[in-house]
Amino acid sequence: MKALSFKTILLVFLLSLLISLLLGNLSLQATETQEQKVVVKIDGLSCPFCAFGVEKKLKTLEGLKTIQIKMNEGQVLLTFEAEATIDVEAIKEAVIDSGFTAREIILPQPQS
Amino acid sequence: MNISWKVRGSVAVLIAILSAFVFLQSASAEEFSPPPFLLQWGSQGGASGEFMRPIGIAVDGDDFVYVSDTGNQRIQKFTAQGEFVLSWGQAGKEAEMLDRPMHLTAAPDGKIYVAEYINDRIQVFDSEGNYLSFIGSSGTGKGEFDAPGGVAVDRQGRIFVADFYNHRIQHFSANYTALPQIGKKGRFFGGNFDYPTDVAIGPDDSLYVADAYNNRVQKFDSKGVFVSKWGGFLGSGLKGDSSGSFDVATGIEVDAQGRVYVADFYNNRIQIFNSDGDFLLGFGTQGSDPGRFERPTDMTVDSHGNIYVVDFGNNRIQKFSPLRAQTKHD
Repeated sequence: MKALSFKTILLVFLLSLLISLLLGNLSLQATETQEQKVVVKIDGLSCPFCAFGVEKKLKTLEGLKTIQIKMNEGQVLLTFEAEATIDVEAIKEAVIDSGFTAREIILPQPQS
Repeated sequence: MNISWKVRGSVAVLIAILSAFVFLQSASAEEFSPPPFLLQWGSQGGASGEFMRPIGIAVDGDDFVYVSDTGNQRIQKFTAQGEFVLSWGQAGKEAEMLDRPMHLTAAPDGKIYVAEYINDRIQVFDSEGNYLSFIGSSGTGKGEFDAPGGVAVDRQGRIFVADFYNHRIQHFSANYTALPQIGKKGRFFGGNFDYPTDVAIGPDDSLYVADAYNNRVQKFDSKGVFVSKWGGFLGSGLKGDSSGSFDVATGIEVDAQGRVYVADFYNNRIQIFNSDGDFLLGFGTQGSDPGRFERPTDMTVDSHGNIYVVDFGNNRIQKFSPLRAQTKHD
């Protein structure tokens, strides 16, 4: 009975280890596919020469995957690679370079 | 007391001079009525004949109409009746690909020149959309661009480009050799630009520039020498909504008679001037009904004088009858 119990415990332990490894791997994969989303609020984006100018300057940012300009809302949605370091100063400079000032930059919330 | 009357007198004289100036600015020998609306085409979308933020328009010698469908990263070609013919382009950096095509022009030889805002180049296509060549690269030097917004070709084959972020006009010989730039960043004075968006060539090869954020038009002779400016008081760049003033001039075109058409973006109208800058007519108000505009970006005129307007915010093209001078009865 005692030997059986030990085997059961060992089996449970190994299964737990396997499951945790699998879950860990899945979690790692999920992290790898995660993206970081940044919202930049800019006033006066309704002129296409301005809006696409902002797009042009922000496109040069390191680690940027996609950029979406919402002219009517005065917002630019930036999507960065999961591992990218988001350089807020570089964002501000790119916006200034395009002839505007970023009113607000909303960064992704840190993962708990 | 005497000084006070002198001051009052001086003010009265000044007001009289200013009033006379304003009157002369707005007065014209010819009077025009708004051109009647003919037809419209397009709505928001990505299918053929639909648009996503269209910006530029041009018409070729056979009256085919080309529209830069900027949001969809393509050029669409239509008949003069708005029937879809073909389209070309997809997002990218390679030749034939486009990244924010802005204003475009149909050159006298039939080639289509497209100003590509993000790829910093002018791409040249034939009228079927086949890629031919490109001009320019990124930068601030001679022959380089930072967001080319508009392009025009004169009868000698020279290419003029509104170099938006470099605040200048660049021009090239017919064999694409870069020539000295025209103008520099600045305000008030002739030859100074603040984010120029478009260029157009008159019948005498004069160059006209939509000096967008100076809220004015500037005219140069065929050698690039400054001739005149208008828009706001004395072409100073003060924005406004009165006749002859602009609130961001985004597009410019000249018809066969030398009349200058300007897309007055935030005033939701098209304004027309003679080649000296005298105001002739403004038409359009904000809205989505026929004849109304939601921030027009450009217009062109076909061989019959019909006017086509890019109604940017309504994602459509509107076509109007040619300008007709009214008989003046005193």
